[in-house]
This record gives sequence, C-alpha cells and structure tokens, in this order.
Amino acid sequence: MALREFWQAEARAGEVIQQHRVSALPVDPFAIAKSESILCREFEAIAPGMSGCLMKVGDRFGIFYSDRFASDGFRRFTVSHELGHYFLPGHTEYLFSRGNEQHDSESGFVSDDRYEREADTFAAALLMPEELFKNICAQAKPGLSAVETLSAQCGTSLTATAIRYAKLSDDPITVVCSKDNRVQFTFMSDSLRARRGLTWIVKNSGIPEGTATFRFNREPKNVAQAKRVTSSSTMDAWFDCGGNLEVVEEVVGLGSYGRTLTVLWGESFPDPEEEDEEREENDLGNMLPSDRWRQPRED
Amino acid sequence: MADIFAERLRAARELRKMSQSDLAKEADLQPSAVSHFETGRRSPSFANLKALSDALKVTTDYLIGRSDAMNVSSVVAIKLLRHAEKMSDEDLNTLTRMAEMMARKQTKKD
Repeated sequence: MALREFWQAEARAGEVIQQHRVSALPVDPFAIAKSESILCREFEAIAPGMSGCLMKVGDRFGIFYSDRFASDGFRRFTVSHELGHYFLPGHTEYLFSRGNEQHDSESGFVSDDRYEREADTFAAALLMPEELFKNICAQAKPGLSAVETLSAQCGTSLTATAIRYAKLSDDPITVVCSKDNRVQFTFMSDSLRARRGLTWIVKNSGIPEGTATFRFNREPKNVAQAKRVTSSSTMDAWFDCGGNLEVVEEVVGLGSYGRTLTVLWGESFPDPEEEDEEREENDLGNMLPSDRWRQPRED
Repeated sequence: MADIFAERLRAARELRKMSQSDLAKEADLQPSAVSHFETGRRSPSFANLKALSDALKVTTDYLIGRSDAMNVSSVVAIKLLRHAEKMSDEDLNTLTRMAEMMARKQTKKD
C-alpha cells in the first residue's frame, strides 16, 4: 500500500475516534456502527472463507460478520474493517468500478488488495488509537508482555496487536508469524527498518534453524496448546548483517489459528557515532601496549 | 461513477438552492469538500454519500447513478466482501436473505 493511502486510513480512523468522542479503551466498533445507523448482525456461515461484509440496500447500510470466529478480537476487527470500507474515501469507487454491476446483485463481490489493506489499516488504527496505545506501551514491560497487556485492553487479537506494536514502537522490534517453520508475514519497527545493511526477513522463507521459534514449531502441540517460551538470541541469528546485538525472543502458539507468533525485541541500537567510538575502543584493545601508549592523549 | 456523482451532486444542490458551504455545513463536512466532489477531485466515502443524500433529501442511489429519480432507491443490494471468492452458495443465500431484511426495513422507513 502506498504511504499516502496508509496515512489516509490512519488519519480517517483518528477522525472517527474524535467524532465519536472515544477517549478510553476498548473502542467499541459496534457502538460506532449503531450511532451511524449501520445495522450490525452476525450470520451463520456455512463455509470458512468469508469473514464479513458491508452491504448497502437503498440508503441503509449493514455489516454482517461470520459466526465462525472463536475470538472476540477477530469479530471486533472484522466489524472495524467493514467500517473502514464505509468511512474511507474512494471505497465507493472500488465497488462501482466493475462495469455492469448496476443490474447484477453479485457483481459487487470484488476483491482488491489495496482496498482490503486500507480497511485493515483503518481497523487497526480504530481499535488501537496511537495515543492511547503508546500510553500503555510506555508503562508496560517490553515485548510479548506489552503485546498481551495491549491486546487485553484494546480487545484485539495477539497478532493484530503485535503488528501495531511493531509499527508504533521506537525500539527495535520484529514480529514474525510462522506456520510449519515458514514465515507467513513479518513486521519490523521503524528503527529496525532504518538500520543500514539489515536484510529483511522474507515471506515464505524458512525460520532460521537454531532459534527458539524453530525448535518450538517442530512440536505441533506447542502451537495447538498455545504454549510459550522465552529465549535470548542475537540479531545475527535472524538477519544478515544483524550484528551481535542481543535480543529477547518470545514465542507463543496461537492455538486454533495454527500459527506461531514470535516477538524479537532488544534495547535501542547504539547510534552510529557511538558505534564508531566502540569500534575505536575495540581497535585499541587489539593494539600492543606500546602502540596504545603512543596514542595521542586527549588531555 | 465519479462523473455521474459530481454532476448529480451539483444538480441536487442547485435544486435545493444551497451553496457549497451550506451543503458542507448541513452534511458536517469540511467547507472545501463539496467543491472537491463536484469537480471530481475527490471521491466520497459511503459515510459522505449518506450525509450528502440526507442533507439534500435525495437517495444515495440517485447520487451515484444507480437510480434516475431523486427519491427512488435501487432494489439491488450491493456488497463489499472479504474473501468473496471463497464464499459458498449457502453463505450467498444467507446474505441475500439479510439484504431482503434490510430492504424491508428500508421500505418501512420510506
């Protein structure tokens, strides 16, 4: 998604939060829908594919969501996603852009990744407003513990919360979702993305052997029984050119979702100047005593 | 849809003898929003569409060209779905029943 669309979806969610005078968590997407006169109903789904939809009949709007969700967080996210289709500019175009839809009740069934991603961004920003989210972040223990606290307070799934956490954190955070030891998706915080030379973890690549996540995933019951482990690792274990910065690797099985969530976090990186100084110190350490003695003294 | 919407928005506004800023105020929009819509520079959201149609006392379907009379709605339900390609016939039927329920409520309101 282009950056402009991303910020537009974030900003629109912020406006909706203001308009509806939301000042505390959890945000209630059902109440927002109700005050917009949007009908909200669960429907008995036969197939697992469909999670929800926004429907327009005349001047009435309705959001229907599948009853197949085990978790409240998923339901709330789906309703918020559909609210995204309602509140985001241009989503009307998305619906009407397919030629003969005017006389065909099914032709509105379209799928376009850009609009779906925008609606997801809107949903995340609606349920996890930046300011309220960051306030909790500042008080929580970093890593998975923060994700769990935020998830409980925002009423969002661990996965959605972890992605938001990586997006909004100033610290080097990576969130990896894996299945069968393959990467499903990954999110890195800005401070990590800005790191020179760091290669990103690629979708569908294998989880690095030797990591706690790799060992965890080899035992399927760890995932099904939502077990968790905490281990220490280094950036090098996960990223090429990651350096030997120590990171905490926290792994949790996502139960019936069948996936594993890994949160990698560490202290802030030293800034480049500090790193240069550190390198000089190390260089000094490698010198002979006599050479060290000849180094110009600052005093 | 963009051209029809821009034309009809202007036509309905002029019929109601409202200025762009009158309409923006009535629909709780930014003052410049109506001008952007009428020149086609910006696309509306469904929320905008609903607010404009309420303020102008016309149907949303008229504004987007799905009905040619100002006070008539299209009978066809439109849906935005996630993962629609995976949807079963049974689920489509369920949603069609939902649409019919909404249509009945709409008629009652009218």
